[in-house]
Amino acid sequence: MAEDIILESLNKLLTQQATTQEVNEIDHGADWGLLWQRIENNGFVNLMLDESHEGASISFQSLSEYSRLCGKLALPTPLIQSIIFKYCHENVFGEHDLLPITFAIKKQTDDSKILSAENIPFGKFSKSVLIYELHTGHKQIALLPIHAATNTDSGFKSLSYLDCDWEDGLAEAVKLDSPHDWHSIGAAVTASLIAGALESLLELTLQYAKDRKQFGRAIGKFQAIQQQISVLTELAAVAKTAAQLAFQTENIEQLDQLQCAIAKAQCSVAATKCVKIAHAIHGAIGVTAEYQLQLFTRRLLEWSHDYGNAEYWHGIIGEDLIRHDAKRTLHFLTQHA
Amino acid sequence: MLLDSFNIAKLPNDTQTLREQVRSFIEGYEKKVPVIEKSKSWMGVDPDLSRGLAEKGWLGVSLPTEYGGQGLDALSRFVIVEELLGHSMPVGAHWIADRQSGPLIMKYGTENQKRYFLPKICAAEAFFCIGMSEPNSGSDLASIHTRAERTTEGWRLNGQKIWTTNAHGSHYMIALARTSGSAEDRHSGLSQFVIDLKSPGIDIRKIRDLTGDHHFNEVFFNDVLLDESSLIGTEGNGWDQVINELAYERSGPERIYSSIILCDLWLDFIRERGAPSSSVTKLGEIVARLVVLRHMSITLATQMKTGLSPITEAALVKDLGTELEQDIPAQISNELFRFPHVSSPRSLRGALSYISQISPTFSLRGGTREILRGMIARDLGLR
Repeated sequence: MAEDIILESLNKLLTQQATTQEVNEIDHGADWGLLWQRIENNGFVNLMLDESHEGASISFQSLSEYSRLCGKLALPTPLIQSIIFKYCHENVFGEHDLLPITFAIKKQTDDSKILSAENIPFGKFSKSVLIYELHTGHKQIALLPIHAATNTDSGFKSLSYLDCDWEDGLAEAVKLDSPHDWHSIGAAVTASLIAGALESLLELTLQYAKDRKQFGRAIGKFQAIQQQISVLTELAAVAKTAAQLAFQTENIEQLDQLQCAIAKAQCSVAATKCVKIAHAIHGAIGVTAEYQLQLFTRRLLEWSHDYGNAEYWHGIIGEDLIRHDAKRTLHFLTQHA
Repeated sequence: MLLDSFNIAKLPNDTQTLREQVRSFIEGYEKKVPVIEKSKSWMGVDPDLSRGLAEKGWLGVSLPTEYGGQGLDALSRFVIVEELLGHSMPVGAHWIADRQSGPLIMKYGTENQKRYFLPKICAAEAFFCIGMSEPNSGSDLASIHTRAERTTEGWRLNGQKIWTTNAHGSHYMIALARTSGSAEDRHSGLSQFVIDLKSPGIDIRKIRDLTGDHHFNEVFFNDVLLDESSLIGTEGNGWDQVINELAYERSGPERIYSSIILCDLWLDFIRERGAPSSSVTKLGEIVARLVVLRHMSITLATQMKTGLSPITEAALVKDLGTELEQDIPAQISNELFRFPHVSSPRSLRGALSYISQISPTFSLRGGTREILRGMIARDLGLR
């Protein structure tokens, strides 16, 4: 019950402070600092901490709904990532002003002194980046301020991505041993952001189909359009279920990589397909900066690739099944999911 | 909003023992079932299997004990059915009776009907088939012409049903017939009857499917006399009853697992021989879709347990599920035959051949893809 009230208060704050117009302006270069300050001042980054740390002891499981809300409202800044990071590494906060923080995979480079990451999700709307290594097994992470990057590139037409190099990067980084699987956490959070954004995408598309008239009637009266919107609904339902799957464990320490993999893979598939359907139904208005559809479709396109796209995770799930001792597909399903 | 119905639900831990018991029974039985029969999934018919399950008390489990059932909930039935279908067992003999005829009689039947039919269903002594489609009434079910007219002692039935799965192996049919008005009256004036298929005036003729198998039929009614007790539920209420029946028919694991034998055989092959990364990825994709659909199906079973009737939600899951069932043979074929020089097991190729041919039916039976999507559109307020 208390959690419902907190969720509702975040909803209220974001609905007022991150209106579609404001999000649109931030997306196109306006300062996001004030919006973030309001979120931080209201204590939402402490959500998972306990009351002695000014938190609300929100469980990892319930974070799924908060994340879906952020996706639904196209919140530009990485709030959920920041909440999780602060919960996991509360001790580093005394001396460093790190939030909002995003996660990115360390790019392999020839020069061991340069630390690089590319297509950093939420990069344009973050203060720092948690860099982790993929496939190494060791759990060291590096925290790097974006302003210290020697080379940043946002010259391409992405929504949120940055490319960053930090020369002598390891020297200026805060290095930490972290027991957490940041790649899977990134996948889980992004999956639920997708699920939330798809709810808005569906609402917008449905309303548009009811309002827009051609050939003397609402386009939603045409069976061809109805069938497309039904498919969009089905995929949004898949994404919602899949995203919830990633948050089934009691706490973040027990995060199940396979469930995160399934969640992210299936949400990525849904995102890509739904973006196509929504744009097709909207016609030209959907690709204008003014109309809000793009707030969601641009995000969905980025999110579908962040922290592993569908193919990447499907490959990992396939390998998992092949290595598993389950004799039958069903045995794998009933043991694991 | 339709999406609000989809909140992930888990099977309760206490279903685990039941699952293990059913699995252990299946592992003892399945050596008797050839791969080609397994490929038929719930279209495969094996009355011995049905009787074996009945002896264990696993037919009609959700019916009350006083009628021969176990009084268990929808989630227990989910687990039993999932084990059977997930191991590709030929459950066709009792399938319709267990899934929908029993629950329908329980919900709408008279006390006498319940006492007569339900114990027989639980004992695998009464197999049922569905009398809905007619030659000119497929998706447009309300336009049926089969007619039951009142007589002094009951009803006289005339007309024809078609695509009736396992009519030739069933004891009874529950049929939708017009009892008043005409086809133009649409949803009003329809009623449901339970018909003993040995009654005089019934002619069952087989229709061979494209693989040469005989699983569905035409059923003709020529002045078939039904007594008063044949009517199920309320005269004229047949449409509502049928819609309710379809929720049982659409939400279960049978809309996910029809092609599962292919996953199992392909997995064996990959484990033995290795596979290119594209095959590993495809396998992962199939499993990921299965996991999510399985959870959606559990969500619906959980809602049905609490007395809800998630009709549109069931349509949504069925559409997604049958699409996956159809994609499985297509994707495995693509992967397997990319390498024409590589030998693969006959059993895998045999199952692939059968399922590829029969898979178009997956999205026809129980309501076509277009009808289901139309139901979703209606729920969204577009129709």
